[in-house]
Amino acid sequence: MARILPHAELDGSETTQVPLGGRLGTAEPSPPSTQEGRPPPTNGSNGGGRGFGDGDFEGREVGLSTPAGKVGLFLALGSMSIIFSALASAYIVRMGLGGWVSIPLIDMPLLWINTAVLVGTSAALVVGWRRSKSVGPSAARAPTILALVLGTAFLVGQWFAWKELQAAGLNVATTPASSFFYLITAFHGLHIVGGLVALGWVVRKLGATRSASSGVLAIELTGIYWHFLLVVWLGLFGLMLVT
Amino acid sequence: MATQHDVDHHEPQSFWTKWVFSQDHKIIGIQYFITAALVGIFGMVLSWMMRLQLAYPGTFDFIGLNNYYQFMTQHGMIMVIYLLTAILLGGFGNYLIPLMLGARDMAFPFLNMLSYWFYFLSVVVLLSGFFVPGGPTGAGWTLYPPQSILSPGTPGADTGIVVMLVSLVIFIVAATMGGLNYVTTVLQMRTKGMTLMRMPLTIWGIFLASVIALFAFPALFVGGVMLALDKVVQTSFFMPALPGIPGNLPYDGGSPILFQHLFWYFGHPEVYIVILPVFGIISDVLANHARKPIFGYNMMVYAMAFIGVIGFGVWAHHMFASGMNPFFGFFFATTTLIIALPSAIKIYNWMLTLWKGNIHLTVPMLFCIGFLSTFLIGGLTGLFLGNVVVDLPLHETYFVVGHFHMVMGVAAILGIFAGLYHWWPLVTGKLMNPMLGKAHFWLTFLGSYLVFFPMHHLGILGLPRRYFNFASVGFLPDSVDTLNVIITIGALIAGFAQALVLINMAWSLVAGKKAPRNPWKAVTLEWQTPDVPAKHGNWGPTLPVVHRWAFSYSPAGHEEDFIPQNVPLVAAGDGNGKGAGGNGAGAAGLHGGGS
Repeated sequence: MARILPHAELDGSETTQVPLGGRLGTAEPSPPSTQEGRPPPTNGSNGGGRGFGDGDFEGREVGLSTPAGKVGLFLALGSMSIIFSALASAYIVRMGLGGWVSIPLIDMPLLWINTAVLVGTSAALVVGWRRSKSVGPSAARAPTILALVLGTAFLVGQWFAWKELQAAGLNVATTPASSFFYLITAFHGLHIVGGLVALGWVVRKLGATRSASSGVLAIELTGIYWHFLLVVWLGLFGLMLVT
Repeated sequence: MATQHDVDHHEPQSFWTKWVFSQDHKIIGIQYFITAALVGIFGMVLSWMMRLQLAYPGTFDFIGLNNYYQFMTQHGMIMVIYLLTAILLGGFGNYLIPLMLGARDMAFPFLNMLSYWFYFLSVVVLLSGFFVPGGPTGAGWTLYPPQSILSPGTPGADTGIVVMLVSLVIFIVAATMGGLNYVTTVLQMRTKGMTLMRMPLTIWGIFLASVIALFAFPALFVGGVMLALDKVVQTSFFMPALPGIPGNLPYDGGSPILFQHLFWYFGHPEVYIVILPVFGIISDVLANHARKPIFGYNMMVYAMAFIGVIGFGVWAHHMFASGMNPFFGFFFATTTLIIALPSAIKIYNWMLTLWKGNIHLTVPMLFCIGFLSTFLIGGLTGLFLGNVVVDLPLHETYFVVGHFHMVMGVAAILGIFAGLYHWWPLVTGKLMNPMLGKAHFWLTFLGSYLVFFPMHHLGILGLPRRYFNFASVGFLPDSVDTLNVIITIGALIAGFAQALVLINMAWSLVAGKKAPRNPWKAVTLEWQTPDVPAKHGNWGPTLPVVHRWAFSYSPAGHEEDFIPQNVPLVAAGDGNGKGAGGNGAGAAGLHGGGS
């Protein structure tokens, strides 16, 4: 069986033409060497094989063990949080400028009901996710359908909140505060629509006979997305409430 | 490990699924590249219009005051967003990420296809702006309110601006779908042995740029929607009361500066979205053609990451002239100047990679060296402009135009050409004509210098930027007119020189010599596929396994001066070098170590 070269030999052999002490990051520039049997340096300065927990010179299966969909989802949530942070900071900056008249949102019980409904959506998805793990994906179907209904109810509720504001004479362009209310709820509502589409897809998926793990993952990812939307709503609603 | 089933099951059959609505990353990459290049040529022609007016004011009937601003705006927007961002992330990113990482495709191929078609739609909407009443917006690529949306404001303030904003919103959706894909693919789809710190620097650059894009574009999205609302339903997010303007406008209390913050929170990271992939391409191509490992690989990665992070904290240096609390100016000047440190590290490392290297002055190498020159010049003038007191007098002059064109315009284009000439045999299997390539390089390089170098001088003389003509500017010496003519001639030379690369590509496709396998003797994985150009699924039945970093050039005691990344250590160290050099296509190279 052939011999596996230790780190140091490869390091030496790969940096012979580098006159200035090899790559940065090598603790002690090792002289060019093809000498056999030299012990590997402790810092493992082979060509990029170190770092990120990779002690195995031959490499290993890389890539995260997390499913690709989850990585993609968290990246998407990161991107979305910039949208909502930008809205919130624009709101705060705009408050300090001219023409700002607050809307007494605290007097709109509908918004509180909507908030409770959104909390219910998240809760239903937590129940669904737990059931899918303990019993099986098909057991999660009922709570997921409940979440779909509650999520739709939230959206309808927000629509009526718009109607209520319009009835009170507050349109999109009436005051900066009303502009922001419509803008923020519209951005949030569009993301809710996306969440409803995802929920509909999960309901269909749970109905079909699919592998248990993909069913659990689907409901988990959808749940994470809805929890994110809940947190965003609580933050933005809170901001608009106290200002 | 993939099975034969994985290889086959997506193989598209019909013309439409194979070439048009393709989910193959290579086709999508080519689609992105061609679309971006075409729209980029259009953007270049627009710049000629500006230059013709500035050199020969009043000579050409088709360039009026309004047209001029529309040409200027569309040139800037097209070049930064629709050419550079799209070609580097969508073009190079799509083609190279799976191949360089040993993957069969992107993590989400369907999303990838959607990304291209959203991009295509955004380009269609953008160009449709030329056909709406009043033409496209002429507000400058920054689209600052109030003039961008005010009816007696800049041209296109009625319809063109809305078309522009819609196009941008669609582009951002496309870029987000693409970015999610690129980042997830890099994190998830690397083949066995391809640790993060063994990745080619091109992939690092594209990866970091995609992360930046995911966190920067949303601010433009929000700003764009708010600006559109100010225009269409007359909210007052950005629009102040305008008592002097006729028409009884309902605006009150909004802040144009707020838009500037949202815009530049995106706008500054945007320049790193463009330049980080170029950094990566230059690093890989330079090392390859100097037959030497990149100097300071780890530092190159850390420097790019550092630039990416700090890049989110410098945006207001674009707004020194807008007025701000002096303490803010001090803060943003400091963060801006700090960016010089990682940039200098990169310049030094490229220089030290060349130092005592076995430099082959191939066409890609010439473009790399050209990049070093323009990026260095542009970076140094950035140090001037990063200081508030120096920026204020120079901000509205051609000094700024010279600076950003050098550092992210010409530098990025040279990097793209380095990549194009380097990877052309990989994509097409054909060789380009090197003489034509060298002529293209020298005309582009010298032409660009002729354009942008004198602009620094003009800026210091006080030549104001954005002016349609300078008749009313009293203090300018006559030499300014001469220089403006020279610059325009340079722009025409550099522009027409691009015909050479088009001819070269066409000639290569029709009559070019078949490229040998791995013509540049590269170590990275994209050259080690069983078929070049790679077939659908890239790797045949078995994925490659990576055993070393992406820079094994000129190893000692080795016959060949390179060892591909997928050659096992045993094969490389067996004394006579057999089975290791070659093209890496031997059994050991492709399948060794596979499980």
